[in-house]
Amino acid sequence: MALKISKDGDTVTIMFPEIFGFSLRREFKEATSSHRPGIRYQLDLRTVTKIDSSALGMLLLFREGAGGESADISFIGVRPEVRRLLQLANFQNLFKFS
Amino acid sequence: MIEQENYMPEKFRIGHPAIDVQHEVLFVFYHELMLSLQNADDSYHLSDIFLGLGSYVLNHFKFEEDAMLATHYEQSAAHCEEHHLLKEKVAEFHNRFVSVKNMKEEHAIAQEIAVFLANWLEHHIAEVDKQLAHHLNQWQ
Ligand SMILES: [Fe+2]
Repeated sequence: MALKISKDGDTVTIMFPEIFGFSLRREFKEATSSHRPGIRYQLDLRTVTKIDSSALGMLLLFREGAGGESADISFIGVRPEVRRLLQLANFQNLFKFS
Repeated sequence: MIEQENYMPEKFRIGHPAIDVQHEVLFVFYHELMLSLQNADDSYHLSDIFLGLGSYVLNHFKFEEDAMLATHYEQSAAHCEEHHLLKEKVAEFHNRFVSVKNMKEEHAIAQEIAVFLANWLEHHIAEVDKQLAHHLNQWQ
């Protein structure tokens, strides 16, 4: 498994590998498909050095499945080069960055 | 930076980093829509694709409209009008989508959305957004 998932109360943390792209689609989709209301997600990107547009699409589909506007999803440990891409995609209005 | 999977044909790249990335994301949604229409076993729910696409389109339009405003873009009114028409179309699809009665109907609307989206991207990016990118790059 490329993703490392841990749970602490209502917070689910998902740790991503170095490359976050289409190859993670199935695993990420399965890991996030059983959403329950009230869950907070932390997407730990500290290891990620490469991310592509299919990953951006996956994140948006995940956000929608987790409640859209009411989804509580934050990115943690984002490296500058990855942050730059997330900002180019205008994700700062849709996700929290911490 | 986007050097892996990319569903946007190169001819749609207009030379503005943010707008190009945002358009790439729209093409990812198009790809997901097609996977779902082909009943791929690991496809996302059509409703998630459709709603996700709708909200990202709004986010993307706001980005372009803010940039037009900040740079006193002369073609802004005509460009925003195209956005406005697409927003109306998204709302119309949305109303139809939420009142579907069965899978067959849902599938038919998704098919219609896919065709509409493909045509819209082809025209809007290649013509309207290209002019905007040119303007924004000169402004910098
Ligand atoms: Fe536009």
